[in-house]
Amino acid sequence: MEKIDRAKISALIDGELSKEEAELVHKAIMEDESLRKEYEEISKLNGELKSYAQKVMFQPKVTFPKSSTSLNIPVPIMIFAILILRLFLKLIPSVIGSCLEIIVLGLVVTLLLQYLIRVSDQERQILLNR
Amino acid sequence: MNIFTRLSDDEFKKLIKPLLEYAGGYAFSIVRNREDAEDAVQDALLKAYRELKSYDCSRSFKSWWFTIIRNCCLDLLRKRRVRSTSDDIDMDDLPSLEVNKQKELEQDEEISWALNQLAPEHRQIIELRYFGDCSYLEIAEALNIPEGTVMSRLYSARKALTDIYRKEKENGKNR
Repeated sequence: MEKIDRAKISALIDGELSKEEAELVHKAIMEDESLRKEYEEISKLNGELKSYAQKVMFQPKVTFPKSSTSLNIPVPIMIFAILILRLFLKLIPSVIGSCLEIIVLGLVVTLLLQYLIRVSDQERQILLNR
Repeated sequence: MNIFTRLSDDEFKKLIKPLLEYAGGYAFSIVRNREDAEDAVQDALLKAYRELKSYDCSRSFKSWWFTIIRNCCLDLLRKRRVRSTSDDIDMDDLPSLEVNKQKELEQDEEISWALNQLAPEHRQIIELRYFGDCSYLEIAEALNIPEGTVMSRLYSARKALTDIYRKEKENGKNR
């Protein structure tokens, strides 16, 4: 008879073993009286603990926090936008003379933001789909 | 999570709500009092909301959330140590119990007492498994230990609990 790690009896009860491992441990339990006794003991304890945990479980009355701004924009982006706006206002006279440069800069910033937001959206989806 | 990943209030609620009941039971198993458990979960909720940026998406959200609850419970226990002088659980605090079932109540008291006799590392793993309903992987992430260690530690904890339970019965203690 193959010797098994006794901790696997516990894992078998928890359903945390692979199919092959579970079969192996199950077989060992059937063949060995002391393993069977241990399996029964842990199963009984498992049932009692589960039932006790069910009883103490309760829905806590909690208040969910609310974001302080209705606009769901992260603070660093807001600061960045304000700074750009201030700079833009200061530079208006010279800006008129170099419109093309501003358009190119705007495009680059837009593309960068789009990329970052797309990455964060993917992250958000992964998190929400769990 | 990067600085652009900001969950809306509804998305945050969607993540937390299914775990609230377990959070209540888990907090209760640590602080052993319903009112304190509720306070701890509320603290954890605010902390999780504030620190969502620090959450590592590659790990389980549940493990992260339960780690925060545990820390809030321990903070609360530290603050209220003077108040909690009894080792035994206050059975009046047990939510939705059919308290008239005397035998069942005695058994619950025995389990509660036995849990309290466990070594901290054993108690911690039992709390996550049963009250938090965590898988081995989630426990491993919450405690920062390998899954194999979770399996062996949970086995040792159960053995220790069975021994305590058996001795308790042999001594005929009635708690």
